[in-house]
Amino acid sequence: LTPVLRKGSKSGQKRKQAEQTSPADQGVQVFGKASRLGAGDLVNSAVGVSGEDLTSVLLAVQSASTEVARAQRTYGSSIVSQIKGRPPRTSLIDYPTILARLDEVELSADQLLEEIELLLEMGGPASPESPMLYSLRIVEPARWVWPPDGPSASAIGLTPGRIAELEVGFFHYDVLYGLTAVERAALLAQILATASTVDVNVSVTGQLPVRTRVILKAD
Amino acid sequence: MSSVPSPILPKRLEVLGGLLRRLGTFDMSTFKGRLILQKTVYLMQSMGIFLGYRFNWYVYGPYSPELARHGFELAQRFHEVGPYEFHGQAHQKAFDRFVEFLGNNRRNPIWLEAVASIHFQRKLNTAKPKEQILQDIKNKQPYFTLEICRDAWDALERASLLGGGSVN
Repeated sequence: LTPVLRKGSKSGQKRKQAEQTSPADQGVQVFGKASRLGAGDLVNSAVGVSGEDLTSVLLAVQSASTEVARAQRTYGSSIVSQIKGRPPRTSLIDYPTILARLDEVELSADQLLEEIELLLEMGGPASPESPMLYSLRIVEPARWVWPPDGPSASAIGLTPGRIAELEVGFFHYDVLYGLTAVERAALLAQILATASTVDVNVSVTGQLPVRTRVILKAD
Repeated sequence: MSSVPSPILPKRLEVLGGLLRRLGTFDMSTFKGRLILQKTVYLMQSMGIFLGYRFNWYVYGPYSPELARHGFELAQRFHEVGPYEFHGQAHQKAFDRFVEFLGNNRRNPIWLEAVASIHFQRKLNTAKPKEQILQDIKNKQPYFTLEICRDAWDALERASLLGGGSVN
């Protein structure tokens, strides 16, 4: 916005005067001694500030300018952001097993179904603070196919993409959370009857996801 | 409008009820009983049996509105619930440790409140000095003494519950 200067107005005259004597135009040091960026001079004019403190501030400023210049060279005009890595939180969970951060566990199909149901009832996508069962994937047998006994994958009423995933043994969270407990139990029992190893992926807000390989044992 | 209860008890209520059946402390008819439920489940989750309840800080320490709701639901159907048996040794051991931790205090609301409150406060601010936490908790309730708070702190320390992460 360009300020409108009225002829004869006091503030306008002052502004005009200020513009005419702009330090940038005349090479005047804006901040007096401090503009020389000398720690010694700053100490002389500052009250109650140690030379060490000032030097560290100046060094920080200097290194920040260098960093910005380097980032601009590297990334052009893009804005560089820094995200601090969050260390994984220690898990103290023993039960349910699929939240215990164990790489591999052995469970019967019924035990896995019970843990899955417990986890699904904790909240899911509608409750961001709760752990969410993100996916189930049948790992073994490697060429698993939808069991011929029982309803077909397309009977669940999903999109063709989701049906295709189900047919190769991948269960996305929207399928799992979208069914009722009874439907889920029937579907998973049908699936797990022909599987021997399953990967369970759980997402937990603010923590690393939990991935557990479940070896299905006989009851 | 009255809601028709589901014929199948949700798994979470079945497990919660089954564990409370084993502890023998479930009672939603009194304030004391409800307080015991809140603190018991809070501490059980802190010791590795996670049922997915999130706790906030209330006048009487950690409190989960969802657990309160489930407690009332469960009270209607507690007769349907049998003692819950874990399917793994590790789970059973975690529960045994929890029962041992409670000792004779499982029906002691003051001890449970003090222990759960100290644990919650410690988790909230690990940098806060021990004496400050004890003093804050003591000042929270007229029936708390510094001795009760120190005992509660020691119990948590013995169970290695004052450091590291937590699941609540």
